[in-house]
Amino acid sequence: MPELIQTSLISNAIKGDQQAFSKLVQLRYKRIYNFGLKYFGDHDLAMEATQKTFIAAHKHIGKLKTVGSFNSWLYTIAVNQCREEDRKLKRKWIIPFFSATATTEDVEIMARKSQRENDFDPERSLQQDELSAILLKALAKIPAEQKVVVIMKEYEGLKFKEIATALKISENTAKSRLYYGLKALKKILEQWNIKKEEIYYGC
Amino acid sequence: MDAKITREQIMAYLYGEMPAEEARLVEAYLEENPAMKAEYEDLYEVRKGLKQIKDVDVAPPMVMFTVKDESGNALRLFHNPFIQKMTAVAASLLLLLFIGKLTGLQITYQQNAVTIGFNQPEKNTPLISNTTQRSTTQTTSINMDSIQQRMLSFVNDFHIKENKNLMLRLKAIEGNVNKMDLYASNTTKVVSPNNLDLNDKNLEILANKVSQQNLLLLSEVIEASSARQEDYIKTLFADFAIYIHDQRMEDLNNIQANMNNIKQVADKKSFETDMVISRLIETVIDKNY
Repeated sequence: MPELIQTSLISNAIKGDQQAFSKLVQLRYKRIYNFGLKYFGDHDLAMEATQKTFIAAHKHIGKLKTVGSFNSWLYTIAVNQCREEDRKLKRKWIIPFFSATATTEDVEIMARKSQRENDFDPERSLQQDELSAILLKALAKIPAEQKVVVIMKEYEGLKFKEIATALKISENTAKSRLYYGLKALKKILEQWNIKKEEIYYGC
Repeated sequence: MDAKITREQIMAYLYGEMPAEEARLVEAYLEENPAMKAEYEDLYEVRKGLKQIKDVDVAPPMVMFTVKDESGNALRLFHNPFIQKMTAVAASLLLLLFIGKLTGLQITYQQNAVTIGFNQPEKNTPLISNTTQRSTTQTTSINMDSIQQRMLSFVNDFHIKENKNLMLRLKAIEGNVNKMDLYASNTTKVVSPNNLDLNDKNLEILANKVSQQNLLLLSEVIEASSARQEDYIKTLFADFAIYIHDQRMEDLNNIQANMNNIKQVADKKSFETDMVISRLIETVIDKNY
Protein backbone atom coordinates (compact mmCIF):
# COMPACT_ATOMS: atom_id res chain seq x y z
CA MET A 1 0.00 0.00 0.00
CA PRO A 2 1.43 3.42 -0.94
CA GLU A 3 2.90 5.54 1.82
CA LEU A 4 0.41 8.30 1.11
CA ILE A 5 -2.60 6.07 1.76
CA GLN A 6 -1.04 4.78 4.97
CA THR A 7 -0.42 8.33 6.10
CA SER A 8 -4.02 9.14 5.27
CA LEU A 9 -5.24 6.13 7.22
CA ILE A 10 -3.16 7.07 10.27
CA SER A 11 -4.31 10.66 10.05
CA ASN A 12 -7.97 9.63 9.84
CA ALA A 13 -7.57 7.07 12.63
CA ILE A 14 -6.14 9.81 14.87
CA LYS A 15 -9.25 11.86 14.12
CA GLY A 16 -11.44 8.99 15.27
CA ASP A 17 -12.19 7.20 11.99
CA GLN A 18 -12.89 3.62 13.05
CA GLN A 19 -12.73 2.24 9.52
CA ALA A 20 -9.29 3.74 9.01
CA PHE A 21 -8.15 2.22 12.27
CA SER A 22 -9.50 -1.21 11.32
CA LYS A 23 -7.63 -0.99 8.02
CA LEU A 24 -4.45 -0.17 9.95
CA VAL A 25 -5.06 -3.25 12.09
CA GLN A 26 -5.30 -5.33 8.90
CA LEU A 27 -2.04 -3.85 7.67
CA ARG A 28 0.02 -4.10 10.85
CA TYR A 29 -1.39 -7.20 12.52
CA LYS A 30 1.09 -9.64 10.99
CA ARG A 31 4.10 -7.50 11.91
CA ILE A 32 3.08 -7.07 15.53
CA TYR A 33 2.18 -10.75 15.83
CA ASN A 34 5.60 -11.78 14.49
CA PHE A 35 7.26 -9.33 16.85
CA GLY A 36 5.44 -11.03 19.75
CA LEU A 37 6.20 -14.48 18.41
CA LYS A 38 9.92 -13.78 18.35
CA TYR A 39 9.75 -12.15 21.76
CA PHE A 40 7.98 -15.10 23.43
CA GLY A 41 8.56 -17.99 21.01
CA ASP A 42 4.95 -18.93 21.72
CA HIS A 43 1.88 -18.48 19.48
CA ASP A 44 -0.68 -17.99 22.25
CA LEU A 45 1.34 -15.38 24.11
CA ALA A 46 2.12 -13.60 20.84
CA MET A 47 -1.61 -13.52 19.96
CA GLU A 48 -2.48 -12.22 23.41
CA ALA A 49 0.14 -9.45 23.23
CA THR A 50 -0.90 -8.53 19.68
CA GLN A 51 -4.57 -8.21 20.56
CA LYS A 52 -3.80 -6.15 23.65
CA THR A 53 -1.48 -3.93 21.60
CA PHE A 54 -4.25 -3.06 19.15
CA ILE A 55 -6.82 -2.59 21.91
CA ALA A 56 -4.45 -0.15 23.64
CA ALA A 57 -3.65 1.52 20.32
CA HIS A 58 -7.37 1.97 19.62
CA LYS A 59 -7.85 3.47 23.05
CA HIS A 60 -5.00 5.96 22.80
CA ILE A 61 -4.60 6.74 19.11
CA GLY A 62 -6.36 10.05 19.60
CA LYS A 63 -3.41 11.20 21.72
CA LEU A 64 -0.87 10.56 18.96
CA LYS A 65 0.62 13.91 17.98
CA THR A 66 2.28 13.22 14.63
CA VAL A 67 1.50 10.78 11.85
CA GLY A 68 5.20 9.99 11.32
CA SER A 69 5.61 8.63 14.83
CA PHE A 70 2.84 6.03 14.43
CA ASN A 71 5.24 3.16 13.71
CA SER A 72 7.46 3.80 16.73
CA TRP A 73 4.41 4.48 18.88
CA LEU A 74 2.83 1.15 17.91
CA TYR A 75 6.04 -0.72 18.71
CA THR A 76 6.26 1.09 22.05
CA ILE A 77 2.82 -0.29 22.90
CA ALA A 78 3.80 -3.75 21.63
CA VAL A 79 6.96 -3.80 23.74
CA ASN A 80 5.01 -2.69 26.81
CA GLN A 81 2.39 -5.38 26.24
CA CYS A 82 5.07 -8.04 25.76
CA ARG A 83 6.78 -6.96 28.98
CA GLU A 84 3.43 -6.99 30.79
CA GLU A 85 2.69 -10.51 29.54
CA ASP A 86 6.18 -11.54 30.55
CA ARG A 87 5.62 -10.22 34.07
CA LYS A 88 2.27 -12.04 34.29
CA LEU A 89 3.90 -15.21 33.06
CA LYS A 90 6.54 -15.05 35.77
CA ARG A 91 3.86 -14.56 38.44
CA LYS A 92 1.77 -17.47 37.21
CA TRP A 93 1.89 -21.06 38.28
CA ILE A 94 1.18 -22.88 35.06
CA ILE A 95 -0.43 -26.28 35.40
CA PRO A 96 -0.94 -27.82 31.96
CA PHE A 97 -4.51 -28.98 31.50
CA PHE A 98 -3.59 -32.07 29.55
CA SER A 99 -1.31 -33.40 32.29
CA ALA A 100 -4.38 -34.67 34.14
CA THR A 101 -5.36 -36.90 31.23
CA ALA A 102 -2.06 -37.21 29.49
CA THR A 103 -1.97 -39.43 26.43
CA THR A 104 1.20 -41.01 25.12
CA GLU A 105 1.59 -38.15 22.67
CA ASP A 106 1.17 -35.58 25.45
CA VAL A 107 3.79 -37.34 27.50
CA GLU A 108 6.17 -37.23 24.53
CA ILE A 109 5.49 -33.51 24.00
CA MET A 110 6.06 -32.81 27.68
CA ALA A 111 9.24 -34.88 27.60
CA ARG A 112 10.51 -32.96 24.57
CA LYS A 113 9.58 -29.64 26.20
CA SER A 114 11.23 -30.64 29.42
CA GLN A 115 14.30 -31.79 27.55
CA ARG A 116 14.50 -28.54 25.67
CA GLU A 117 14.25 -26.59 28.91
CA ASN A 118 16.56 -28.66 31.05
CA ASP A 119 18.84 -30.66 28.85
CA PHE A 120 18.67 -28.92 25.52
CA ASP A 121 20.53 -30.85 22.87
CA PRO A 122 20.97 -28.55 19.85
CA GLU A 123 22.76 -31.07 17.63
CA ARG A 124 19.86 -33.46 17.86
CA SER A 125 17.42 -30.65 17.16
CA LEU A 126 19.40 -29.72 14.06
CA GLN A 127 19.06 -33.27 12.82
CA GLN A 128 15.31 -32.95 13.30
CA ASP A 129 15.22 -29.87 11.11
CA GLU A 130 14.36 -27.50 13.94
CA LEU A 131 16.83 -24.80 13.05
CA SER A 132 14.27 -22.07 13.32
CA ALA A 133 13.17 -23.33 16.74
CA ILE A 134 16.78 -23.37 17.93
CA LEU A 135 17.35 -19.79 16.84
CA LEU A 136 14.12 -18.71 18.52
CA LYS A 137 15.26 -20.53 21.62
CA ALA A 138 18.59 -18.74 21.48
CA LEU A 139 16.79 -15.43 21.02
CA ALA A 140 14.69 -16.17 24.10
CA LYS A 141 17.85 -16.68 26.15
CA ILE A 142 19.27 -13.19 25.74
CA PRO A 143 18.20 -10.33 28.07
CA ALA A 144 14.82 -8.79 27.18
CA GLU A 145 16.14 -5.29 26.51
CA GLN A 146 18.69 -6.65 23.99
CA LYS A 147 16.16 -9.05 22.50
CA VAL A 148 13.69 -6.23 21.78
CA VAL A 149 16.33 -4.26 19.90
CA VAL A 150 17.49 -7.33 17.95
CA ILE A 151 13.90 -8.11 16.88
CA MET A 152 13.13 -4.51 15.97
CA LYS A 153 16.29 -4.19 13.90
CA GLU A 154 16.58 -7.63 12.33
CA TYR A 155 12.97 -8.52 11.70
CA GLU A 156 10.99 -5.29 11.80
CA GLY A 157 13.61 -3.33 9.87
CA LEU A 158 13.35 -0.24 12.08
CA LYS A 159 16.02 2.43 11.89
CA PHE A 160 18.11 3.06 14.98
CA LYS A 161 16.30 6.37 15.34
CA GLU A 162 12.90 4.67 15.33
CA ILE A 163 14.09 2.08 17.85
CA ALA A 164 15.42 4.84 20.07
CA THR A 165 12.08 6.66 19.87
CA ALA A 166 10.04 3.52 20.53
CA LEU A 167 12.09 2.52 23.54
CA LYS A 168 12.73 6.06 24.75
CA ILE A 169 16.48 5.58 24.74
CA SER A 170 19.34 7.19 22.83
CA GLU A 171 20.46 5.91 19.45
CA ASN A 172 23.83 4.96 20.87
CA THR A 173 22.15 2.92 23.60
CA ALA A 174 20.11 1.12 20.95
CA LYS A 175 23.28 0.32 18.99
CA SER A 176 25.04 -0.80 22.12
CA ARG A 177 22.18 -3.11 23.11
CA LEU A 178 22.12 -4.56 19.63
CA TYR A 179 25.88 -5.15 19.76
CA TYR A 180 25.63 -6.99 23.08
CA GLY A 181 22.56 -8.89 21.87
CA LEU A 182 24.36 -10.22 18.79
CA LYS A 183 27.43 -11.09 20.85
CA ALA A 184 25.24 -12.93 23.37
CA LEU A 185 23.54 -14.87 20.56
CA LYS A 186 26.90 -15.88 19.13
CA LYS A 187 28.03 -17.07 22.54
CA ILE A 188 24.85 -19.13 23.07
CA LEU A 189 25.15 -20.76 19.65
CA GLU A 190 28.78 -21.59 20.38
CA GLN A 191 27.82 -23.09 23.73
CA TRP A 192 25.29 -25.25 21.93
CA ASN A 193 28.02 -26.26 19.51
CA ILE A 194 26.15 -24.87 16.52
CA LYS A 195 28.52 -23.84 13.80
CA LYS A 196 27.76 -21.30 11.14
CA GLU A 197 28.00 -23.98 8.44
CA GLU A 198 25.19 -25.89 10.12
CA ILE A 199 23.02 -22.79 10.21
CA TYR A 200 23.55 -22.01 6.56
CA TYR A 201 22.95 -25.64 5.65
CA GLY A 202 19.35 -25.07 6.72
CA CYS A 203 18.92 -22.34 4.11
CA MET B 1 37.08 -1.63 21.48
CA ASP B 2 39.56 0.72 19.88
CA ALA B 3 39.20 4.42 20.72
CA LYS B 4 39.18 5.44 17.04
CA ILE B 5 36.15 3.45 15.99
CA THR B 6 33.40 2.97 18.50
CA ARG B 7 31.12 -0.01 18.94
CA GLU B 8 28.21 2.17 17.87
CA GLN B 9 29.96 3.02 14.63
CA ILE B 10 30.57 -0.66 13.93
CA MET B 11 26.87 -1.36 14.42
CA ALA B 12 25.85 1.54 12.18
CA TYR B 13 28.28 0.24 9.52
CA LEU B 14 26.95 -3.32 9.92
CA TYR B 15 23.40 -2.16 9.24
CA GLY B 16 24.33 0.36 6.54
CA GLU B 17 23.12 3.35 8.51
CA MET B 18 26.19 5.45 8.00
CA PRO B 19 27.21 8.12 5.52
CA ALA B 20 29.39 6.81 2.70
CA GLU B 21 32.42 8.84 3.75
CA GLU B 22 32.30 7.57 7.31
CA ALA B 23 31.72 4.02 6.04
CA ARG B 24 34.94 4.21 3.99
CA LEU B 25 36.84 5.22 7.11
CA VAL B 26 35.42 2.26 9.03
CA GLU B 27 36.32 -0.09 6.15
CA ALA B 28 39.89 1.19 6.12
CA TYR B 29 40.10 0.82 9.88
CA LEU B 30 38.85 -2.78 9.72
CA GLU B 31 41.42 -3.61 7.06
CA GLU B 32 44.17 -2.36 9.33
CA ASN B 33 42.84 -4.18 12.42
CA PRO B 34 42.35 -7.92 11.82
CA ALA B 35 40.99 -8.50 15.34
CA MET B 36 38.27 -5.90 14.84
CA LYS B 37 37.55 -7.25 11.40
CA ALA B 38 37.11 -10.75 12.84
CA GLU B 39 34.69 -9.38 15.43
CA TYR B 40 32.78 -7.56 12.73
CA GLU B 41 32.58 -10.74 10.65
CA ASP B 42 31.30 -12.67 13.66
CA LEU B 43 28.49 -10.14 14.09
CA TYR B 44 27.76 -10.35 10.38
CA GLU B 45 27.52 -14.18 10.57
CA VAL B 46 25.10 -13.98 13.52
CA ARG B 47 22.96 -11.60 11.47
CA LYS B 48 22.92 -14.07 8.58
CA GLY B 49 21.96 -16.86 10.95
CA LEU B 50 19.06 -14.84 12.37
CA LYS B 51 17.60 -14.55 8.88
CA GLN B 52 16.71 -18.24 9.14
CA ILE B 53 13.75 -17.34 11.37
CA LYS B 54 10.97 -16.67 8.92
CA ASP B 55 7.80 -14.69 9.47
CA VAL B 56 4.68 -16.64 10.30
CA ASP B 57 1.47 -15.86 8.44
CA VAL B 58 -1.47 -14.94 10.60
CA ALA B 59 -4.95 -13.86 9.59
CA PRO B 60 -5.96 -10.50 11.03
CA PRO B 61 -9.07 -10.70 13.21
CA MET B 62 -12.46 -9.39 12.16
CA VAL B 63 -12.58 -5.87 13.56
CA MET B 64 -15.90 -4.60 14.89
CA PHE B 65 -15.98 -0.96 13.90
CA THR B 66 -18.82 1.48 13.86
CA VAL B 67 -20.41 3.19 10.86
CA LYS B 68 -22.94 5.95 11.02
CA ASP B 69 -26.37 5.75 9.50
CA GLU B 70 -28.22 8.63 7.82
CA SER B 71 -29.45 10.03 11.11
CA GLY B 72 -25.91 10.00 12.49
CA ASN B 73 -26.43 7.11 14.89
CA ALA B 74 -23.57 4.70 15.23
CA LEU B 75 -24.17 1.25 13.78
CA ARG B 76 -22.08 -1.82 14.26
CA LEU B 77 -20.90 -3.25 10.96
CA PHE B 78 -22.35 -6.63 11.79
CA HIS B 79 -25.65 -5.02 12.78
CA ASN B 80 -26.13 -4.18 9.13
CA PRO B 81 -29.10 -6.39 7.98
CA PHE B 82 -27.46 -7.31 4.68
CA ILE B 83 -24.21 -8.39 6.37
CA GLN B 84 -26.20 -10.26 8.98
CA LYS B 85 -28.18 -12.12 6.29
CA MET B 86 -25.08 -12.98 4.30
CA THR B 87 -23.31 -14.20 7.41
CA ALA B 88 -26.32 -16.27 8.45
CA VAL B 89 -26.58 -17.87 4.99
CA ALA B 90 -22.87 -18.63 4.91
CA ALA B 91 -22.96 -20.05 8.42
CA SER B 92 -26.02 -22.20 7.60
CA LEU B 93 -24.39 -23.55 4.46
CA LEU B 94 -21.25 -24.36 6.38
CA LEU B 95 -23.27 -26.07 9.10
CA LEU B 96 -25.20 -28.09 6.52
CA LEU B 97 -22.02 -29.10 4.77
CA PHE B 98 -20.46 -30.14 8.03
CA ILE B 99 -23.48 -32.14 9.22
CA GLY B 100 -23.85 -33.72 5.78
CA LYS B 101 -20.21 -34.72 5.87
CA LEU B 102 -20.51 -36.14 9.37
CA THR B 103 -23.63 -38.17 8.62
CA GLY B 104 -22.57 -39.18 5.13
CA LEU B 105 -25.75 -37.59 3.73
CA GLN B 106 -26.27 -38.31 0.02
CA ILE B 107 -28.98 -36.65 -2.06
CA THR B 108 -29.35 -38.01 -5.59
CA TYR B 109 -31.83 -37.41 -8.38
CA GLN B 110 -32.23 -40.40 -10.68
CA GLN B 111 -35.13 -41.58 -12.85
CA ASN B 112 -37.42 -38.76 -11.72
CA ALA B 113 -36.89 -39.61 -8.10
CA VAL B 114 -35.02 -37.89 -5.32
CA THR B 115 -33.16 -40.22 -3.02
CA ILE B 116 -31.87 -39.21 0.36
CA GLY B 117 -29.66 -41.64 2.17
CA PHE B 118 -26.82 -42.02 4.58
CA ASN B 119 -23.47 -43.69 4.13
CA GLN B 120 -24.04 -44.48 0.46
CA PRO B 121 -20.91 -44.74 -1.59
CA GLU B 122 -20.39 -41.86 -3.97
CA LYS B 123 -20.40 -42.96 -7.56
CA ASN B 124 -18.74 -40.08 -9.36
CA THR B 125 -16.19 -38.52 -7.05
CA PRO B 126 -15.29 -40.83 -4.24
CA LEU B 127 -13.45 -38.92 -1.52
CA ILE B 128 -12.08 -42.06 0.02
CA SER B 129 -11.45 -45.60 -1.15
CA ASN B 130 -14.24 -48.18 -1.47
CA THR B 131 -13.08 -50.01 1.60
CA THR B 132 -13.31 -46.85 3.70
CA GLN B 133 -16.74 -45.99 2.36
CA ARG B 134 -18.34 -49.18 3.62
CA SER B 135 -20.26 -48.90 6.82
CA THR B 136 -18.18 -50.48 9.49
CA THR B 137 -21.16 -52.00 11.27
CA GLN B 138 -22.50 -53.49 8.03
CA THR B 139 -19.14 -54.96 7.18
CA THR B 140 -18.78 -56.50 10.60
CA SER B 141 -22.29 -58.02 10.66
CA ILE B 142 -22.00 -59.47 7.16
CA ASN B 143 -18.67 -61.00 7.90
CA MET B 144 -19.89 -62.34 11.25
CA ASP B 145 -22.78 -64.16 9.53
CA SER B 146 -20.59 -65.61 6.86
CA ILE B 147 -18.04 -66.73 9.43
CA GLN B 148 -20.72 -68.40 11.55
CA GLN B 149 -22.09 -70.24 8.51
CA ARG B 150 -18.63 -71.36 7.55
CA MET B 151 -17.96 -72.60 11.05
CA LEU B 152 -21.22 -74.57 11.19
CA SER B 153 -20.70 -76.16 7.81
CA PHE B 154 -17.15 -77.08 8.69
CA VAL B 155 -18.17 -78.67 12.01
CA ASN B 156 -20.86 -80.70 10.19
CA ASP B 157 -18.40 -81.84 7.56
CA PHE B 158 -15.91 -82.69 10.22
CA HIS B 159 -18.49 -84.84 12.14
CA ILE B 160 -19.52 -86.71 9.00
CA LYS B 161 -15.90 -87.37 8.09
CA GLU B 162 -15.03 -88.53 11.60
CA ASN B 163 -18.08 -90.82 11.74
CA LYS B 164 -17.03 -92.42 8.46
CA ASN B 165 -13.53 -92.93 9.81
CA LEU B 166 -14.90 -94.47 12.98
CA MET B 167 -17.14 -96.83 11.03
CA LEU B 168 -14.21 -97.92 8.91
CA ARG B 169 -12.08 -98.51 11.98
CA LEU B 170 -14.86 -100.48 13.66
CA LYS B 171 -15.19 -102.67 10.61
CA ALA B 172 -11.45 -103.21 10.59
CA ILE B 173 -11.51 -104.13 14.28
CA GLU B 174 -14.42 -106.52 13.65
CA GLY B 175 -12.46 -108.15 10.86
CA ASN B 176 -9.45 -108.46 13.14
CA VAL B 177 -11.58 -110.06 15.83
CA ASN B 178 -12.91 -112.59 13.35
CA LYS B 179 -9.39 -113.32 12.21
CA MET B 180 -8.26 -113.72 15.81
CA ASP B 181 -11.15 -116.09 16.50
CA LEU B 182 -10.21 -118.10 13.46
CA TYR B 183 -6.56 -118.06 14.43
CA ALA B 184 -7.37 -119.07 17.99
CA SER B 185 -9.47 -122.00 16.81
CA ASN B 186 -6.80 -123.04 14.29
CA THR B 187 -4.04 -122.70 16.87
CA THR B 188 -5.95 -124.75 19.36
CA LYS B 189 -6.53 -127.29 16.74
CA VAL B 190 -3.01 -127.30 15.26
CA VAL B 191 -0.69 -126.45 18.14
CA SER B 192 -2.38 -128.50 20.79
CA PRO B 193 -4.36 -131.12 19.10
CA ASN B 194 -4.17 -133.20 22.21
CA ASN B 195 -5.32 -130.41 24.42
CA LEU B 196 -8.79 -130.05 23.07
CA ASP B 197 -10.08 -127.88 25.87
CA LEU B 198 -12.12 -125.59 23.68
CA ASN B 199 -15.18 -125.73 25.71
CA ASP B 200 -17.74 -122.93 25.94
CA LYS B 201 -16.10 -121.43 29.00
CA ASN B 202 -12.69 -120.91 27.32
CA LEU B 203 -14.32 -119.47 24.27
CA GLU B 204 -16.26 -117.05 26.41
CA ILE B 205 -13.05 -115.93 28.16
CA LEU B 206 -11.37 -115.42 24.80
CA ALA B 207 -14.32 -113.47 23.48
CA ASN B 208 -14.30 -111.28 26.57
CA LYS B 209 -10.61 -110.51 26.12
CA VAL B 210 -11.13 -109.63 22.50
CA SER B 211 -14.06 -107.40 23.29
CA GLN B 212 -12.02 -105.64 26.03
CA GLN B 213 -9.26 -105.00 23.53
CA ASN B 214 -11.81 -103.71 21.10
CA LEU B 215 -13.22 -101.35 23.68
CA LEU B 216 -9.73 -100.14 24.51
CA LEU B 217 -8.99 -99.48 20.87
CA LEU B 218 -12.32 -97.78 20.41
CA SER B 219 -11.77 -95.48 23.38
CA GLU B 220 -8.29 -94.58 22.10
CA VAL B 221 -9.72 -93.76 18.70
CA ILE B 222 -12.42 -91.59 20.22
CA GLU B 223 -9.92 -89.80 22.47
CA ALA B 224 -7.61 -89.09 19.56
CA SER B 225 -10.54 -87.88 17.52
CA SER B 226 -11.81 -85.53 20.23
CA ALA B 227 -8.29 -84.20 20.83
CA ARG B 228 -7.97 -83.39 17.15
CA GLN B 229 -11.39 -81.78 17.17
CA GLU B 230 -10.52 -79.72 20.22
CA ASP B 231 -7.26 -78.55 18.64
CA TYR B 232 -9.06 -77.58 15.52
CA ILE B 233 -11.74 -75.62 17.38
CA LYS B 234 -9.03 -73.84 19.35
CA THR B 235 -7.22 -72.90 16.16
CA LEU B 236 -10.47 -71.81 14.61
CA PHE B 237 -11.32 -69.55 17.53
CA ALA B 238 -7.80 -68.14 17.56
CA ASP B 239 -8.06 -67.38 13.85
CA PHE B 240 -11.47 -65.84 14.41
CA ALA B 241 -10.10 -63.63 17.21
CA ILE B 242 -7.26 -62.50 14.94
CA TYR B 243 -9.76 -61.83 12.18
CA ILE B 244 -11.96 -59.78 14.52
CA HIS B 245 -8.92 -57.86 15.75
CA ASP B 246 -7.78 -57.13 12.19
CA GLN B 247 -11.29 -56.09 11.27
CA ARG B 248 -11.41 -53.75 14.26
CA MET B 249 -8.09 -52.21 13.32
CA GLU B 250 -9.30 -51.74 9.78
CA ASP B 251 -12.50 -50.11 11.05
CA LEU B 252 -10.50 -47.79 13.30
CA ASN B 253 -8.26 -46.86 10.40
CA ASN B 254 -11.33 -46.15 8.32
CA ILE B 255 -12.78 -43.97 11.06
CA GLN B 256 -9.43 -42.15 11.38
CA ALA B 257 -9.32 -41.59 7.61
CA ASN B 258 -12.88 -40.24 7.69
CA MET B 259 -12.09 -37.97 10.62
CA ASN B 260 -8.99 -36.63 8.86
CA ASN B 261 -11.04 -36.05 5.76
CA ILE B 262 -13.69 -34.17 7.71
CA LYS B 263 -11.03 -32.10 9.48
CA GLN B 264 -9.38 -31.19 6.20
CA VAL B 265 -12.70 -30.16 4.70
CA ALA B 266 -13.63 -28.15 7.82
CA ASP B 267 -10.19 -26.45 7.89
CA LYS B 268 -10.46 -25.62 4.22
CA LYS B 269 -13.97 -24.21 4.63
CA SER B 270 -12.89 -22.20 7.68
CA PHE B 271 -9.93 -20.77 5.79
CA GLU B 272 -12.12 -19.95 2.80
CA THR B 273 -14.68 -18.27 5.06
CA ASP B 274 -11.92 -16.19 6.69
CA MET B 275 -10.63 -15.17 3.29
CA VAL B 276 -14.10 -14.24 2.04
CA ILE B 277 -14.84 -12.22 5.16
CA SER B 278 -11.42 -10.48 4.96
CA ARG B 279 -12.04 -9.60 1.31
CA LEU B 280 -15.51 -8.40 2.18
CA ILE B 281 -14.14 -6.15 4.91
CA GLU B 282 -11.44 -4.83 2.60
CA THR B 283 -14.00 -4.17 -0.12
CA VAL B 284 -16.25 -2.29 2.29
CA ILE B 285 -13.32 -0.25 3.61
CA ASP B 286 -11.92 0.46 0.13
CA LYS B 287 -15.32 1.66 -1.01
CA ASN B 288 -15.33 4.16 1.80
CA TYR B 289 -12.04 5.60 0.56
